[in-house]
Formats: sequence, C-alpha cells, structure tokens
Amino acid sequence: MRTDLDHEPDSVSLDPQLLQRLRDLPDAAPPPYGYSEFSHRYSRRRLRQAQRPWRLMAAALAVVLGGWVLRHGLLPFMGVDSAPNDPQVVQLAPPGEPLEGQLPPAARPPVLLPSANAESWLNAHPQRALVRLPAQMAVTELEDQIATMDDQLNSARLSQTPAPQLLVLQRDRAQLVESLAQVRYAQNLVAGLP
Amino acid sequence: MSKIAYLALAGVLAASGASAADHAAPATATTTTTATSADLDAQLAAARQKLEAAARDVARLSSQLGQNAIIRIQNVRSHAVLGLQLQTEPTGKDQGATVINVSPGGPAAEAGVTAGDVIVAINGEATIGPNAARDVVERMAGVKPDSKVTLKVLREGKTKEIQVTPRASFAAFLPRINAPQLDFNWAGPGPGGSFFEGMELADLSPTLGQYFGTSQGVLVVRVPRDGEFLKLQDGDVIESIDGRVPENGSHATRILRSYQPGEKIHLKVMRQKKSLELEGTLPERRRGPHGPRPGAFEPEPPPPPGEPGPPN
Repeated sequence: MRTDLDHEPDSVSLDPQLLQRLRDLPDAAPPPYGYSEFSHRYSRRRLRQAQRPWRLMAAALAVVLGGWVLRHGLLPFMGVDSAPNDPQVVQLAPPGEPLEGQLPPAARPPVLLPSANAESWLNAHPQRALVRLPAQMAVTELEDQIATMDDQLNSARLSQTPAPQLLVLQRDRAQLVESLAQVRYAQNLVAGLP
Repeated sequence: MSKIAYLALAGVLAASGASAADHAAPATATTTTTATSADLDAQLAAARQKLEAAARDVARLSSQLGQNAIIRIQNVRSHAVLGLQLQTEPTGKDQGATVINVSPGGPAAEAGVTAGDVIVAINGEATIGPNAARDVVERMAGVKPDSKVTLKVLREGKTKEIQVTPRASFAAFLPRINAPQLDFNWAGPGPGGSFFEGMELADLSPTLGQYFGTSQGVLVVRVPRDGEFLKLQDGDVIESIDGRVPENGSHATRILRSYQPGEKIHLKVMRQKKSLELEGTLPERRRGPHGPRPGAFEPEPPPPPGEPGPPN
C-alpha cells in the first residue's frame, strides 16, 4: 500500500529557489516538435553521417592537390622555390646550433634555394654517352668543384664551423649547381635534345 | 629551371618545328621556301654556337666563384673526395652515416650512391655509432684519388656493396693562399680547353668495343679542330692516356683537362683493329705581342674611359 499517495501536494517540500525559477519561466514555451519534424531531422542526420567519409576524403584530396600545385605548379613561375624541404638546408646548422637567430635576416638564403630544382633536373637528365669538348671540360670542372665542396661541408660541420661561414659555402655550392644545370641544359639544346 | 630556360626551350622548339615543317614541305615548294629553311637552319646553328659559348662563360665564371669559395674554407684538404653530404647531427640511431645529398656528377653519384643510403662500412671497416659521419670523413682522409673504395650501405633495409672511385679534391689544384700565383689559367674549360675545341668522344659499349676490336677506352667520334698535335683520327679508340684507362667520355675529359700547355700526352689507341702508340705535346699559349691563341680564354679588356665633359 502506498501511503504517500494520501499526502496533499502542498506538503511536498521543494527548494524555494527552484520554485522561484519555475515561476519565472515564460508561460508560452515553444511546443516540442512533432513526428514529422523528428523524422526530417533524423533523416538529415543519417545523410550527414553517410557523407562524412567522402567529405573527409575530399578535404584530404584538396589539401594534397593544393600542396602539389604550390610545389610544382605555381611557385616556380612566381620565382619562389620549394627547397625548404631540401635536406641540405635543414642540415645547414651545426649540431645543436639552430641557424635561426644566429644570422641577420639579410643573410638568410633565398639564393640557396634554387639548387633543389637544379639538382632534381640534373638527376633526371643523366650524362649523355657522347660528350663534346671543351664544353664537357667545363661540366667536369663544375662537378669536381661541387663534389669538393660537399666533402668539405662535412668536415666543416663536424669541426663546428660557424653557421654564417657554412651558409656562405652552401650558397656558393647552390650557385655552382645552378650553373651546372644551365650548362648541361645548354649542352642538351645544342645537341638537339629536349 | 628558370623561366628564361623555359622560354629558350620554347624558342628552340619553335625554331626546330619551323625547320622540320620546312623539311617536310612537298617537292613543289618554291625556291623562296627552301632559302628560308636553309636560312633558319643556319640561324639555328649560329644560335646553338652562341648558346654553347654562353654556357662556357657561365661555367667559367661559376668556376672562378667556386675556387674563391674553396680557398675561403679553413683547413683546405686535398685528399680524395667521394662527393656526398652526410648527416652530421646525431640521430640517436647507431646504424651508420646517412647520406643526405649526393653531388651531381660526383664519384658517389656515378657509382650509384643515393641520398638516404646509410654507410655502415668503408673497405670492410665499420662506420657505425654516433660518430659514424666523422669515421667516414677520417677514413677518407687516408684514401688516394683514383683508388677503389668499397662502401657497404644500407638501403631499404638491405645491405649493398658499392665500389666508388674517389677523385682528387679540386682544392689540390688551387694555388695556396699567400703563395705566388702560378701562371696557370684555371678559368674556363681548363688550362688546355681550347686545344680540344670540337672534339667529340663516345662511351664504348661492349658491342661497339667488339666492332672496334677492344674492350676498353673511349671512341673518338670527331678529332679536335686544331688537334694535329694529337695525331688522332675519327674512329680511333683511345685505350689509355699515359697509362690511365678512360672509363667513359667524361672520365677521358677529366684526364685531358689535367694537362697543361707544353705537356706531353702519350696515347694508346686502337685504329682499324690495330694497336698504335701516339705522342703529342700540348701547344704553348701565345701571349704578348702575338696575342691570345684563337679560342683561348683571355680576360675582357677594361672599358674605355668616358668622354670628358664640356669645360665650365
């Protein structure tokens, strides 16, 4: 038997603050939505969930495509290079010495960067089996200088050579690589090759 | 490549296309069309000559720049070089010395070393540990140029042995700082570069070698324009130059580049399947009242002074 059912409603003890809040509520609260609205909202949520993987994929594709266009498409024509990813630039500072902050902004290296494109072009166009002198002498001389610089860069980094000196050496190397690519490119044109 | 290079390529392709179109014209083409075609061909040949000369200028000036840079480096070493850059920062891994870059056209690149390879041994001696890069540099200090070096590398988890022939450091040929300057023209395509003007050399494949009756050397496709001193003929195979066997056209070029004016060259050649020994002397450069030898690099004379202004 439920004895509590016999109690009068007035006897229920409520928190006075809560009662006040309940009294302050607006009389005309919006009515809850009906079945048709519920059904509409449910189907819309289902649709959104179904589309989610495709949207994620599209976003990822857009990011990849945008990155590719920036790296290979637009930047070379805008005079900007993508070589910050070049390991030689990353490795420029001696161990434990960040390059940033050591050099004045003017010494930072836009001239360094073109060698990445030049190197990739050189790698894609190996030396031909037929060589013509003395142009080839110029090519071999540049190649030998770059090889010497690379070996000396190793020694310089290991001997904790100051970063500005390394940077200058790196910049000169980049210029040599750029020149090598230009000379090799001219060789190809003269030989009637693409 | 730069935008200029793309434009140059487009121009040359356009010119080649025009030339090709002219060649493909029917036999009924007018004399004017033929003359235009010949004219275009001549212009293209002239443009190519200019391009080659400009490329040599680029190489000469860059080479001078490179020499200055190499001279600036402290503790210039003149040992044999591999032509690669190593990861010198500690990586926390003890696997070996990681190659981060390979010099284009350098000994390592020619031998097939690529960026990302990890050198774990040189000539059988391990280069593993936090000082692996230092080990490689120090081991190379004791290697002589043109001797064979076997690099054991890790590539994609597998070990591989690569034989590299290190070259002499370019620094070895440079005059010492504060030493008297040698009468030695390093500018341009090497001291004797112009003596080999027009010479063409081709790598000798095994089949070509069989045809010419030899298994080593380089084929002379065209002798130098002023190369009587070498006594070579088109179709000769140079088997050795003063005992050094050229492995390909570039290697032969490097050997020839090392000769100075006035030096003797001894060649062993195969001509019509008969072995011959030839000897020649590189001509001396003409200087002073005779002026420079045609084709040889001489520095540009200074520009004439400007006209004096009117008196005040």
